[in-house]
Amino acid sequence: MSRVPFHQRIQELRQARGLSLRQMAEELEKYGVKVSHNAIAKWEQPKMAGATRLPSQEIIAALCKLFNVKPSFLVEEMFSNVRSKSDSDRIAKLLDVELLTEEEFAALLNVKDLFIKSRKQKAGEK
Amino acid sequence: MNEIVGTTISKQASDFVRDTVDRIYLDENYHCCTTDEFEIWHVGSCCVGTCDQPCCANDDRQGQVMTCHEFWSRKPLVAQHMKNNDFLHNLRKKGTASCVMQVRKTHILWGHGNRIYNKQIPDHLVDELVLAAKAQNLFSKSPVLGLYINEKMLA
Repeated sequence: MSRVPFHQRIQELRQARGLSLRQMAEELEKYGVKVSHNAIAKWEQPKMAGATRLPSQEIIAALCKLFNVKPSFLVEEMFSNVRSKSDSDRIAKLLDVELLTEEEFAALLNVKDLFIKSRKQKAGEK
Repeated sequence: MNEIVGTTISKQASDFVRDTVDRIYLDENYHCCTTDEFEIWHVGSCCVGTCDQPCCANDDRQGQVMTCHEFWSRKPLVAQHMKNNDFLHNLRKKGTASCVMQVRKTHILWGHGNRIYNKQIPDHLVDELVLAAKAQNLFSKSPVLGLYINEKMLA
């Protein structure tokens, strides 16, 4: 479930791909939508996030194709602040991290970061 | 939205909500009607009464029945129905919003701009999604109201 606001999510995806605002506008055109780099900049501004600055459904669909993500990853929805039971189970499994030494815990975090970095790189290559 | 501490939903319910949102943006959906303020859509394969069989909702009519268009056009009725439901407030403030609305059946609603999409929630997921929606002031219920989709199928 998406816990990250749209403006932040879209900026993270663009930066992970190494795209400038203009380049992203050009990429979106390949998916049939024409937007200016100024419009994208506005999407990324938290104060602008709202009814008047949210892209249309068609642009959301194009963004999903461009970044290879699903709409539910981009937009916040009703249960974004409600944990699913599978999330709770995962968190419960991590409760014994206090048994680890500082070094072991740091190593665990490194592995987690590597997984996330690898996933971002794969998304960027697509 | 407020952080809900201790509220959890099953993976199945979570997947249903996520899948509904994905279908809204990526799949073909059924346009029901347009009011002065909203476009009403039904998600995916929602029955629109086009089959050759007698309407399966015929024997289940109760309470006041009106079309989606009649309901969403009547601002006082919508205001009354949504008085404890933050859906429209969130939609106007954030551009997207969702809620659970119970008329004859229980539906999940998703709003984007002036579009409101709805999809019936499967019976086995209703209880937990209603509970989670209530906890966030995103639930409304009318014990007497049923809605027609394009005057054909009851919602």
